[in-house]
Amino acid sequence: MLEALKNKKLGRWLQGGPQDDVVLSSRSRLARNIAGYPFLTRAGKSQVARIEELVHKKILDAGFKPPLQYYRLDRIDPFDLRLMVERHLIARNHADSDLVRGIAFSEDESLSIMVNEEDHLRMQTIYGGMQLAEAADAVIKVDNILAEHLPYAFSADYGYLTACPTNVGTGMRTSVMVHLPAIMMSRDMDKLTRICEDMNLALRGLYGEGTHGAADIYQISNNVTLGITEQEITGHVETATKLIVDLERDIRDSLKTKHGKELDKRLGKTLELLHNIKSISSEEALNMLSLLRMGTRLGLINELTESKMDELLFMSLPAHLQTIARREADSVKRNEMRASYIRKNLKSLENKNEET
Amino acid sequence: MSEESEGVCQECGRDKAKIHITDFIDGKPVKKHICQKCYDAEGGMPSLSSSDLFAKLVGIIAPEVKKAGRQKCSDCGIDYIEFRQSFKFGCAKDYVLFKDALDELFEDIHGASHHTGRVPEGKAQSATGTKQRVEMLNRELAKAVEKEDFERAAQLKRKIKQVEQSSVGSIKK
Repeated sequence: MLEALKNKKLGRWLQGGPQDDVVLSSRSRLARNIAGYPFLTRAGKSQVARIEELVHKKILDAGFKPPLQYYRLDRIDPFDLRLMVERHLIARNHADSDLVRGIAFSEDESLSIMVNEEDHLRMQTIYGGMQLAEAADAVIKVDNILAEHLPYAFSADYGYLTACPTNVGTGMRTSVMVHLPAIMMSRDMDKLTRICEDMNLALRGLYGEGTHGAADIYQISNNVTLGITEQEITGHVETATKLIVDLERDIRDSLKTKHGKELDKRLGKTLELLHNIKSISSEEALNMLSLLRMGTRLGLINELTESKMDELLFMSLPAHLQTIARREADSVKRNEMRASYIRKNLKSLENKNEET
Repeated sequence: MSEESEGVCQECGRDKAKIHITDFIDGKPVKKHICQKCYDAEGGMPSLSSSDLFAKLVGIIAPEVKKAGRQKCSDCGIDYIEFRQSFKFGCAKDYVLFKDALDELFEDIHGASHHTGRVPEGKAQSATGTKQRVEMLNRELAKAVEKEDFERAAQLKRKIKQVEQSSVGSIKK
């Protein structure tokens, strides 16, 4: 396993931020291609390798401070690739591809640059909580640094040229990851989808296209990238997120006041179940932990701290569990490991509470 | 999570479906989920890709296709039909070659067909890029003046000067 991912705290974005009762993280990414080379869809094997070599070298030349770590993804363990997907360092497509490709990332994992994903370059910044403007500013700074070293494919008419027509123009995809258990529980999905439709934003599950909202976690991002400025994109996502945060908070409050007893009962049952469970799938675990996360944020559970709760949630994902166990495991074994990990952590948290 | 629920190839029904493409059968787009082996066996392309029949069918579904014609890009070798099928460009030149059709397509996707966002700045950008950059900055300048945002206008004027000066001599071809 990669040294850079071993024995290390989760990325800084997972340690919370403004409005993190609902907004887990804010992300901004820019897609770029290098002028003079075909896009990856039409590049031959040796061309793909040359592009990787060039971009890799230029990223190192750019002298990012603090320095970035660079890895060739076609040379590392598939298990590390899955770990990187779960940590949102790389997209799933990037992990599954068989091209010569790479990833550069900062120590705190707030910046990552994917080389030879769908485009030659995809840089992204990810911050905890509601920090959309900060994430956008940061990724633009990175773009400016790289523009000193790499000639971009750009046209005055269409802006930054990308392999897919849905990214052309700014090449910017700005998104928030939001935790919406109350909206899901109240079956008020309609209001949520309407907000997104009205503002022409996309609603997706935890790990991008085609995944459902595991743990009631959703991503909201812009669809339009052309004929719009970077500030406007960020502003739209921000406006929609504010509406969604208000909606989620309102329903959480009314759940607490109107159905407080029922909610208490469900939380108690869930906690008890997790304390005693011998095996649990990642989907089940995420759903239960999602409920506990909301209970914690509503002040209904005193045993768990908020940041510990998020860590527990992300550590319950398949590849992360194997990191803890330091070995590869099949899904049966993983489900047992997951149950034991959750049991142990819940217990340790309670012990700490009793001491204080 | 989808770790346990990956689909199986629709062709051989044996291996994991890794490739998701849209094929056209009887004039209708059909999603296909197939494994790498079956994809390779078909020569990496859905069956009807370059036939005239296929071009006609795409023409019905995507009316802007008529504007693009069937000229192939001299750099990457694809024509508009092939682009429309994979929905991926082959190189930057396609954007110029397919321009007549693209304005319409971009209006559909983005509700706009002209870039209004940032412009790349930096030593590595090409000389033709410089000309475009100055054009764009001038357009932005006009907008700022119109909005009476004089601070921004002054900033843009400085930038234009910078870009024009930096293009003299220092651009490598």
